[in-house]
This record gives sequence, structure tokens and C-alpha cells, in this order.
Amino acid sequence: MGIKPRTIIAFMLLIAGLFLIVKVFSVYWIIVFFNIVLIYINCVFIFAYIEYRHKRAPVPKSWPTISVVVPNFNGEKTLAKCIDSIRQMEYPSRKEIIVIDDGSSDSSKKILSKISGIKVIAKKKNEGKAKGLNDGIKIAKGELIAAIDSDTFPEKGALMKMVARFDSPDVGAVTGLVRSYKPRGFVEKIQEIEYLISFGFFQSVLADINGIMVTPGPMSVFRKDVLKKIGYFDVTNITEDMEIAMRLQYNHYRIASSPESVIYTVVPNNLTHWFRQRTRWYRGKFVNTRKYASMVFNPKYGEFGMFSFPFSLVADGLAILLIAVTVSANLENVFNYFGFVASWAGAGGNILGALPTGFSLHSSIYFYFFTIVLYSFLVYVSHNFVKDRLSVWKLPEIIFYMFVYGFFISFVYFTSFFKEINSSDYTW
Amino acid sequence: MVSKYIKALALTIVILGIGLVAINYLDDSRAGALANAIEERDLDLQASQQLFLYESVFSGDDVCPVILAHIDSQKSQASKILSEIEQAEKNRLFPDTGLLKRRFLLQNVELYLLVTRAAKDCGSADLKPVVYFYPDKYYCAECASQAAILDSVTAQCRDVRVFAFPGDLEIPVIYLLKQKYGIQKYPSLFFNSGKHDSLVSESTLKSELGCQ
Repeated sequence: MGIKPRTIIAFMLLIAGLFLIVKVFSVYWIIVFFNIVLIYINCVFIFAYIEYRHKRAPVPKSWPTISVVVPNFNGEKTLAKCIDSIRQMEYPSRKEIIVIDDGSSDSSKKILSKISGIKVIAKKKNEGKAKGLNDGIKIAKGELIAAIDSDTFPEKGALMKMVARFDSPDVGAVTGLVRSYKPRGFVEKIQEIEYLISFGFFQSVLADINGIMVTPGPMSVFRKDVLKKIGYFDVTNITEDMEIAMRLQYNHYRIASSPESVIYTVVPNNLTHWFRQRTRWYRGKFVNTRKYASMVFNPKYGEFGMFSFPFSLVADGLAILLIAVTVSANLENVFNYFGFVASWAGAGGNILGALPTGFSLHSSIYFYFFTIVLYSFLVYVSHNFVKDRLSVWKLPEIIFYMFVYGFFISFVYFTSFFKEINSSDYTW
Repeated sequence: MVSKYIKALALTIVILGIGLVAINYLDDSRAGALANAIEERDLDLQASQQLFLYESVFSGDDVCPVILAHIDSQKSQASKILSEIEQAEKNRLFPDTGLLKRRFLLQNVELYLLVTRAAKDCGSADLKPVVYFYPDKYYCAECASQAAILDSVTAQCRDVRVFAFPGDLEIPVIYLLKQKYGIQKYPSLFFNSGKHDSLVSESTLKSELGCQ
């Protein structure tokens, strides 16, 4: 699909707006503003964490029946292991397993035919994950629904720990701690850090203030009657796991988190796949933000409406600003530099001698110092959640996460924003 | 109990305060270091002027060796100071860069005049001044290359002294020098009594200035 005129107009408007911001407020104040907002958001999380850390996980008096629903599409490599992990999950009450094969063209159907004791819905054509989940939920007999991706392997105790969090009727869903499965490459290792921070620290603290915005696709547990009441998963949404969480919040249900429930999932192992996945996620966020915009700064939705949702949007805006300011502040230098090198080389100068000199940092850059201190704390706390040791071997990915990841995400936001405006096709 | 949002706001304000004080201190230190370097050049220039004054008061005494030795000792890090001031100005690192730059440029003009006078009065054939005109108000890639070439030549050739003047700034002496040397475009160089109004390569400069 080509670039539409509205995308070009949006791009030019954004650049003009950013240019104006840079010229009016100067890079100095933008960097200070960027860091101060981030520092405020992180300080709220730290104080929320201080309140949260003394709380103990509830102990349930009874165990509701549960149906594990596994949508699968061409998951031949992981499907058998996934079902095996589900079977091994301890649960003191009835647990049924429903697998929806969503028109796979690989050997998934053959694998499923060899597994006994599970219900299988075999579809002829691919109808999407949300539709598959809904079909499974509709035939499920359990009071609770555990939606698990076919490339996900929960730990033995994950289900019991998650179900224990349904300690009041207003809890509509519970999330766990999603971790990267056997991270080997650098891209997977960065996601391991990212998941620990997002699903460990942030998700737990957000749950405490009822501010969760996503019930992670790899595994989340829902009340079946609540799903029925709010109309099941949205089959038209590209990030159905975020949409359902927003809809739960919209209907005043709480989403709890169980950071002690560890769920391993296969994550993208190369940059292209990772970038594509994140672009889809953030495009989903744009769609869901438009859909649930009425909740922003709406006191009716408590801390979700007043803090978690609006400040996540502020953080998104800052991410776009970060890349735009960096580019606009350096673009001129880059052009100048190439012009300089060309004429220097043309004048018979030594090309190696043409390296930039006199590079000086803006003093406001020192504000990043505070942000780095806060992020280091987050990395430490997140590792504590899973009782993981912080070793020097993890330094490369931690350093990347703290210093470069922001720019990567910034670029993803930027791309998602324009792809969404351009209505480009979604890619998985 | 104070809410976490208020506590976070208070902590953020404290961090903002500490950050702004730290930035202020850092900017002051950087501006102070530049101001000191310019101050030192000022003292050197004053000493040179006193030598010429001495020469005119006590005519007959041969002060030329002292003058030449002193001017030679002023082979200061002029291009480094100018590049630092320009970086600070461009990135708005700290206020008053305009004032520092003006003072620096006036010093440069003064130094050029003193060197020219020393050459006239004392016949210092060894010293080879190169006057370089560039624009201050806009970027010119050729000028950036020329500046780099001049830096390189100065580092290699002991007797070459470069005086860089922004031709579009309203400094009376620079205006007069432009008129005198007939400068119309940038970059322009004036050395060995000749004007060059395009980029001069490193090898040409070195051979014309007798530095191999």
C-alpha cells in the first residue's frame, strides 16, 4: 500500500509542530520537561511500590472450576510442549483444556489428534485469535477461563497462584509474570529485561492501583461470566488482549496481577520480527485509545482514568518527542558534517582528520542522570520479584535497555503512528 | 496520609531543583573557564601593547627581540577557544556567549594589528600571517573545511599564524580589513600579499607559505 496524502500532511504537520516546539522552548527545556515528567511517573510507581510490597497474596477458601483455552495457528513447534505444561500445572479443582486450531496449514492438526483428554475445535480457515478464543470460551464449562497462547509454557504453580488473586467478585481478570522463554540471542535477552520490568514491577504496582491496561496474550485468567457480560473478545481488534483489559476497566472490573506466577513465552528472536510485533502493539494502542478516550482524566474510572491511562499516553507522546528532538537537533549537524567532509576531501585533506571535533554536551543532558538512577532501581526491583540474581553478564542488555531501548521504542511509536494514519495492513 | 501522587510530586520538585542548580553550576563553570582563557589573552595583549608603548617612549632602545619573542609566545589556542564559544552559542549552552565571542574577536583583530606592526617595525620575516574571512551568520561547508585545513597547517607550520574574522559581523576594523583586501565572498584568505577567494587546499597553502 502506498503513502496516502493524509499521511504526508500528518507527517509535515508533526515536523512543523516539533520544529516550533524546539524553536520556542529550546532543546534545553524539552530535555528537562521530558525527564521531569518521566521522573514524576516513576516516582509515583516507586511510592506505590513502597505501599504494595507489604501486601501478601490472598489465600482462597475454594477453587472454582477452570477451562484452559488455547488458540493455535501454525504452532507445530511449541503446541505439544504447551499442552504438556498446561497438564502439569497443579490445580485442586476441575481443569479442562480446549484447543482451537485456527486453520493451521502445518502439522498442528496431526499433533492434536495424538493428544488425548483435550477438546479440539478444528477450523477450516483462519479466523483470528480473538474469534478462536471466543469459540473456545463459549463451549467452556469452567467458571474461570485461562487464555494461553500455543507458544507459552506456564510454570507448575502459575494457575493456582493466579486464581488465588480472584479474591473479590469485582476482579474480572488476573495477569501473571510473562518471561522470555530460554533467551539466547541479544534481542531475546533485551525482551527478558523488558518483560521483567513491565510484567514484574509495573504490572504489579499498576494492579495495586487498578491501573492495568493489558491482560497479556501469552496467559491471563478471566471470569467467564464477566467475559460473557461484556461481550467476549473483540474480533476486529488487532490487540485483543489490550482491548479486553480496557473494556474490563470501562465496565469497572478490577484486573489483578500475580507476579509470582511465572509464564514463559517464545519472543521474537530478531530485530525485524521484534519491530513488527511492537508496531502492531502500538497501533493497537492507538486504536484502543480512540475507542476508550472517554476514560482519560475521567474521575469515574479512578486511578486508571486519572493516572495510569493518561500518563501512559503522556509517556507515548514523550517517546515520539524524544526521537523527533534528537533527530531535529542533529539533522542540521549531519548535513553540515557531510558537506564539510566532502569539501575537505575535495581540497586534498585527510579524510580521517575530518572527524567531528568540539562536540559539547548540553548541560540539561545531566537530567538523564536522575532518570538513569530511577531505571537502575526498577531493574533491581524487577529482578527481586522473580528472585533472579543480577549478574555482570546481564550488563550488555541492561545497558541497552537503559540507554538505547527508549530510542527503539520511540522509533516504533513513530512508525506505528504513521502506519495507523496511512491505514497500512497489519503484519504479525 | 499523604497520597503517593503528592509525595511523588514533592520528590520530583526536589529533583528538578537539584537538577537546575547543578546545570546552573556546570554552565557557570564552563562559561567561567572560557572567560578565564579570554582574560589571559587580554593580559598577553596588554603586555604586547606596553612593549610598543615602551618602544615609542624610549625610542632608540632595541625592543624588537623582546616584542617578537613575546608575540611568538602568544601562539595561544585561539581556534580552540573560538570553536568552544561557537559550540556554546549554537547549542545555547549558557548565556553571554555573544559577549564572550565579541571580546574574543576584538582580541583577534588587535593581535593581528600588533603582529602586522611588529613585522613592519621589527621586520619579522619569519612570521607568516594568514587572514581568513568566513561568515558567522550562516553555515558554509567550504568554510568548515577551510578552517580544518588551516588548523592542520598551523599545527604543522610553526611560523604560520591564522587570524580568522567573521566578515558579516559589524566590527569596524574587520569592515576596514575587508575593504582593504577586497573581500567579496567566503571563504577568502589573504596571505603573501595575495587574495584567494575560494577553498585553498592544504598542499597549496603549505607550499605557498614555504612550509613542507
